[in-house]
Amino acid sequence: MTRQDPEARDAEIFRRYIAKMKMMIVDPNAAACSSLFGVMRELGAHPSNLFLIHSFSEADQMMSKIKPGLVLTEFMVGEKCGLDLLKVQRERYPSETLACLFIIVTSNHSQSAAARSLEEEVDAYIVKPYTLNSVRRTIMRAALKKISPSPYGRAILEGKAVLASGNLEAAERFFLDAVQKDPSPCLAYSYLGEIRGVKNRLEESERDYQAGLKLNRTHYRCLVGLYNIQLKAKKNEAAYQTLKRLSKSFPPSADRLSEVLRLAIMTKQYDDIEQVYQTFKSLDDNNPGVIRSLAAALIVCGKYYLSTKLGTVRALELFKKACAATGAKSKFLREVIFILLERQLHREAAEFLSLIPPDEAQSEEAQLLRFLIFSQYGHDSLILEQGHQLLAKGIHHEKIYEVLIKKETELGNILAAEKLLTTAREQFPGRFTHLEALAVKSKP
Amino acid sequence: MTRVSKPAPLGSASSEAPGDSGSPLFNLKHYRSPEPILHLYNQVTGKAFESECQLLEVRNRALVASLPADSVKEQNNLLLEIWLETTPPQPGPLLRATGKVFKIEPQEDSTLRVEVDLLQVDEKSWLAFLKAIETAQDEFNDFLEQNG
Repeated sequence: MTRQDPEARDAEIFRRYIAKMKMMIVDPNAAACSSLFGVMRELGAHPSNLFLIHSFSEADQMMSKIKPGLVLTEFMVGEKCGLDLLKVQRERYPSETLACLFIIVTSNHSQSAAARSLEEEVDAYIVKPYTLNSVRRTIMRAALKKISPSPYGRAILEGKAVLASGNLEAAERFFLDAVQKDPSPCLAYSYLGEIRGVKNRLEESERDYQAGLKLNRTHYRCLVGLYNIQLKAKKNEAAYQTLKRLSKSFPPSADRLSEVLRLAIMTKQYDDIEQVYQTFKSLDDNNPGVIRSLAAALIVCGKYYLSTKLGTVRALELFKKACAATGAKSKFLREVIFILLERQLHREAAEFLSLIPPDEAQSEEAQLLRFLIFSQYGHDSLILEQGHQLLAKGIHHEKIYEVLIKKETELGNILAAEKLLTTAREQFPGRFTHLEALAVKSKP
Repeated sequence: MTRVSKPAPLGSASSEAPGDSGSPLFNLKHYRSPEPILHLYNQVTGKAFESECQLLEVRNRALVASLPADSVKEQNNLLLEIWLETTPPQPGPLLRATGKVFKIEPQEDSTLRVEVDLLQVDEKSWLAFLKAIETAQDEFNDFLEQNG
């Protein structure tokens, strides 16, 4: 019997592995698809088993139809992320998806893209520019982990398979077994943590993740798992610290940035919010969800500073950043102006009002804000005149009624105040008590 | 042609101590991994392109790249330089070659997908270039394996 070179042996195993396998290449760019088609042909794939797909929906349908053994997909397929294909298929066919090799091909060299791949547990990530050899080595490495795993890898695969079928007890046993089979079984610990988390054994779950992190302090799955379990256990402070740790090692995705902001507010880590802002500016990311979260967080943070010794200057800086981040979107600008007016800071509010773009200067929103600012320093008769003019134009806002009812009452025009109150009741039924209390309170 | 500055390599965060007090919330150094940067000079038009060129694929003595609209035409002769981001920056490009545009496919985003046959290339530099690409790929593979 002749002894075979391990590389040649692996190549032979791989060649046999892909020879009859159905494969999908997903890329909106037809030329890129053809290139990978050529590469896969050279690696031994049969042309009739290669399906070239150019859209996400087509890929989704085809995956359900042919149940491919290998999917090579571009990171972005049109407007959608190729990773979502895996996500959708995993939800639909958990067991079959486990057997499929799922590989991302991309020119996106960012760690956030790689981190997202980790999150979705893709089998490999091919970076452009690629060579025939780099593709071969990467696919082979991923394939061999599935077809010829180590004892540890086998226990993990078996555990994942039973976990996908919903048998938590059996899966737990596989992962406990896996822990014994590798000197650094971080992945096994992360699955144990996940299973125990599902079973609501939160302390144990946390210990599992910590055990994994003791071996590799930046293990992605363990960090994400620990964060989730700490949130579930309502350990917000600890969860926030874990999230910071995660964000330091792996560039935050848009979703994670929003989470950081949410938790920073919940745990009153206001200084961190500015760091998120700086990070966001350097990200060159225009994710609208993050922009909204960021602006809201900066505003909450500024509101907090208004109530502290750091005071107005600091708050104004944050409000400006919020407006800069959102391009002075009126919703956020209005919020800032309302907050400033609550503190009688009408001059500062007027500065923010000037951020409204000229073509929106006569909008109902701008007229409302201008009036509310004026109501803090203008002459009573002019305030009443302008307020009534707004109502006559059909611009109804609770705050206009508040100002007018208060002024009319202060001036002793009780009938006018009550008339306004009646209209306000109709306009804002839910706020009736508040407005009535205002009228009563304002009576001289 | 200018030299490229270098971001930190992928996965280098693991050598640091995440969560240490006093350190920033995010590690801004880690947003990009090194990637080969393509600069080209069209010898026919006399125009140089240092940005918007992206290497997509490396074949046997040939390259596939995404290039700006109107940058090249079929059969144009090109002077190509490929720089690799390193610390400290390299004194010269990793690869310098001459090539001829073999095929052009206009893309929807108005860029061109261009195949270039390399005519003159130093063997040693070519091998070093292939090695660099495969190392970048290995770094990603290791990153996924260590952290996934």
